[in-house]
Amino acid sequence: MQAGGPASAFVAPAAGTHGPAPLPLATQAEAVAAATASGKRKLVAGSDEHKAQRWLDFQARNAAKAEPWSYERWEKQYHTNMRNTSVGLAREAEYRQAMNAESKTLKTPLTQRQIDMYIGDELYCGQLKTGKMGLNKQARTEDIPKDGELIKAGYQVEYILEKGGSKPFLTALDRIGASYKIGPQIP
Amino acid sequence: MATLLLDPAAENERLQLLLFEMPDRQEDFLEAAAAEGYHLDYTLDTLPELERYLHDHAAALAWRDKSADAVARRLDCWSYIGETFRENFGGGWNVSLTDPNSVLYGQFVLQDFGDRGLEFSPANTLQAYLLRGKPAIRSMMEAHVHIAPVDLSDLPEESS
Repeated sequence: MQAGGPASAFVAPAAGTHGPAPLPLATQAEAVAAATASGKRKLVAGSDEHKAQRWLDFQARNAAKAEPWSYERWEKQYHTNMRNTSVGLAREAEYRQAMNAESKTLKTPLTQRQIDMYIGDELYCGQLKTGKMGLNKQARTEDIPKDGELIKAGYQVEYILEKGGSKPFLTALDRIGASYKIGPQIP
Repeated sequence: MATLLLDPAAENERLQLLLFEMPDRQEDFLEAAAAEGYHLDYTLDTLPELERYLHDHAAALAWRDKSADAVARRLDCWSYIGETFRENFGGGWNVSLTDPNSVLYGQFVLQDFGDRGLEFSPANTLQAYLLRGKPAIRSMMEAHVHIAPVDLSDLPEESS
């Protein structure tokens, strides 16, 4: 299990205190058990298993003296983000159709890289970001270094930043030799 | 687009045929190249010589030319790239069949070099060079064996 603490750290919110219970208790237990057993397997965003694991992760990351969100508040944010994920995935599909591209993966020296829009005849690897992009931990330590490896191996990497990116994010792209386009590239 | 699942036995037959024909094809390729003044002997130092050959024969090798003649010419070039990789970094030829969603699925690749389970695609390496004239073929090879990820530690980590 990742740094999410033991499964016992999952405390079902009591009705009336943190709002309605999000899942029946049996389902919660199954989801937590599945999340606990999942190890490093990538969980499917939006699944019960994913949700339970992310709640564990969230609780474990708060310091003892912090004032963490209630389950109700956390769950609201979770569903907002999952909706955004769906929108992002749908947008990716629109780009793929417009560009005659495919969703692909490639194993890099830094583990597997998901490619949102791949065009084989051009060795083109497109990455779509529908929200404003900052140089967050995922981008800084995983995604951009992996893209750097793709470029060294001969692939073209381009980011489509529909709502732009921060200066550090763009600097990181420049550093690996990736190109980027700001703003929507399809209607 | 759904990926068509390949038959491993049929793909292995394809691989064996490639490897069966490779020595004679490569011998002919090297002789013809030598007659034109290109010295190729599978050492890393001859890769700039191969790049010179690619520049000089760019029209006949153009990636978008799908004629049998162009395909055969490119086959000899990427076979040379693959053999140079194998001679210098180890590994052996195979068909990439591990991940149906991989960019390399169904391609002839070099495997079993290094300790990261990577695959090197000679055809993609040739394609990248023909399309863009960079990076150098040697550096594309070395990116698979001498791993040095970009250092972004001087840039601030942001929250989103």
